Amino acid sequence: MDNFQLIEYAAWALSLVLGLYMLFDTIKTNRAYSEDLLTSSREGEIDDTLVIDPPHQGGHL
Amino acid sequence: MPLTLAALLLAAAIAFFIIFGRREARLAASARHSILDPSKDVLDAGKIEIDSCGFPKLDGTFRGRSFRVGLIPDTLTFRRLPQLWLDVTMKRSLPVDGSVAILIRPTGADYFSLTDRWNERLEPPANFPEMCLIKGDGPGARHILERIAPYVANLLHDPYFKEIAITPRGIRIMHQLAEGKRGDHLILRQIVFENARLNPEDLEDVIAAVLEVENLLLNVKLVSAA
Amino acid sequence: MNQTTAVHGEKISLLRVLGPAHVWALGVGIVLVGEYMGWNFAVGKGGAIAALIACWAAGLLYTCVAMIDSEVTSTVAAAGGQYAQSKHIIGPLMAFNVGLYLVFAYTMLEAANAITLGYLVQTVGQMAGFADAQDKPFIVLSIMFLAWLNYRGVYATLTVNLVLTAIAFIAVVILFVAVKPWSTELLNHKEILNGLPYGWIGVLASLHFGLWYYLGIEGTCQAAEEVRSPARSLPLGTMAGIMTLLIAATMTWYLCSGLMPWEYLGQATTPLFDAARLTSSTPLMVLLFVGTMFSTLASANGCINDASRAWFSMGRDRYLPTWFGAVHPKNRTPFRSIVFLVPVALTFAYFAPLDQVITFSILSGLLGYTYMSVQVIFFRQMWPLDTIKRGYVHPFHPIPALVLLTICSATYFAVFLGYGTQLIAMMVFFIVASLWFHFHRYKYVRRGDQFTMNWPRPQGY
Repeated sequence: MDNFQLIEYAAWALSLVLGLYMLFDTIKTNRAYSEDLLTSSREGEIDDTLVIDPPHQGGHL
Repeated sequence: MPLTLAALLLAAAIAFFIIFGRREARLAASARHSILDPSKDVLDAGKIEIDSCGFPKLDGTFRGRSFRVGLIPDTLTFRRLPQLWLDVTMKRSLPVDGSVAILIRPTGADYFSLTDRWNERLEPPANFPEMCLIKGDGPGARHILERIAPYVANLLHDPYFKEIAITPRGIRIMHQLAEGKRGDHLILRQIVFENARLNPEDLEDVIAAVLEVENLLLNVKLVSAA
Repeated sequence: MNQTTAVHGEKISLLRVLGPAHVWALGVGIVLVGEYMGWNFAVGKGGAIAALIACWAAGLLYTCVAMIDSEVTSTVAAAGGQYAQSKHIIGPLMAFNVGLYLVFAYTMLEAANAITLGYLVQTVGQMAGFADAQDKPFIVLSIMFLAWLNYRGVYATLTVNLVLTAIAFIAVVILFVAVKPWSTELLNHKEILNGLPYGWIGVLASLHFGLWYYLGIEGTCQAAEEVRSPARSLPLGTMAGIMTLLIAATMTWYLCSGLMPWEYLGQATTPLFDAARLTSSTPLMVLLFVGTMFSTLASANGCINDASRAWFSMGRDRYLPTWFGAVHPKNRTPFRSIVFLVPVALTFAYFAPLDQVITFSILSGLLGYTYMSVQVIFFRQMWPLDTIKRGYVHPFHPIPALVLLTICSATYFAVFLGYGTQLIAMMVFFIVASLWFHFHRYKYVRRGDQFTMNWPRPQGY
């Protein structure tokens, strides 16, 4: 196997690694988050945690 | 071409790009992490953390209300420069029986917007000049819109205003904080928010707007010198 | 609040918005790649002179495109290029088609770039003595690598990008000077230029690839700001880009046609790099190698970026399954669209020859330009000049639209000459896609959400 073939194999290997990375990350992301959240990001939600009502300021709701 | 020379040149070029690239990435990351620093003290007990996307977020309270200041990068609209949206959210229970979101200049790719979530489309009031999309949810949506419309029409004079959303759990206003550099975007689609910084005065303005809207919904005068 | 340049609302001067170094970016990046590969297939269809005529005719086509596009862009405030415009002016079915044209044009351009890159590396390997060097691994790697970069979403500034862009442009100039165009020492036009080997029909046929010099210019210089003051004049950026390309194209043509006989030039993969090889100068070869590499990589990167955004937008608008409208929670990229389009690009890059891939890209672009000419006629008819506020109003309507339509029709015929199968395949594809959309997708489309301009009712409706 000459030097250039080495480079070619390296290119194939790198392509495979990158392709698998994208594939697995896609599958992982699809599983980890709900479909609703992915198509409309989490920032859309004003979530329930940390909702604090301000201290009463005299005679209102 | 002597092979060893070519191979050395290639290796040198790759090494250069890797080292240079990592340095650039580090610089960009540190610039990114410090976007909210100037405004840290606007909120009481202000705490800056880096969120899972690599952008900072600021949590704290203002006049007893819980606020979160976040940053949302948006590179998803076709043929538009990358945007950095400033998201100021006040989290408290509101006595409203519905939700409303008003989005200015909708592109269809506004994944961060609450207008995505609801189906009822509301007519923009007459004095809303810009292209806008208004969505509502729940029986009280129209009523909320009527109440806040005059004030929001005022807010629309600011060309960088993007969205306002009111839900029973809080109020959110979004502004454009920064835009990607054109040259970098044209050549390599790079996202460069040069010198992006949140000035304390700007944050205070947005918070004031949020509190004013809250005021309209509660129909209460805020006690001064709180 | 705004660290952006203080030009919002002011008259935008070219240098102010872009900065002097960025002026180089005009017409470069995605589009200069058309000088480095592809245009020479026009030589194969009609000879060298025909290719030059095609180059200038295509310049005329793109000038019309620039004029028409500027008017529509300055009036439709919604960002989103031709895709958004068609949503507002015609409707969902047309927007769906326009979206497909864009995705296909860019994906095929990406494949063409990958093929060129692979070939370039293979050639260098062969020059170094490895007779059986392969191109396929590098074709695949370039697509995978750029897709991965786009998947991750990169925020770093590669400040060296301006230097590389300048190199890509200067390389052409340096090569031009190096072949001593004022003498016949290296260039041999007298002997090599042999008129029109296929006669005038060859000139018509070469129109097909003449478009390649400029393909994408209408999109490259269009990157709208969020808050923009509608342009009141033809954007200097696009016109300067077309002029730059015209000059670069003529220089490229001149030096290549003087060095290589048309039979060879007409099927070469990397004409400029081959020209550099013929000068036997190693520095020139290295320079052109870098230029070709960078322009193809930059172009492919932009293509992946734009095609995935267009596909994503169609998913969000429900023209395609909304599954494609997902955003990666960490990277903030349209990850499903990116991943979906990778096999498409790979298949064409791996299995199809360069001229056919380029033809598919050109055909998709042509369909877009044809649509543009029809759209502006509709546009002026339904909303005449005084009914809505326009930024820039292009002169002599309907002449530019008709010129555009004529050149497009001629180019379809040019494609038919020799690439009839591709032409028919594309038409069938778009007809089938439109039928699918009409019968299967249209019911999901939320009509109201799309039309957000507050224009009056169109005339006659």
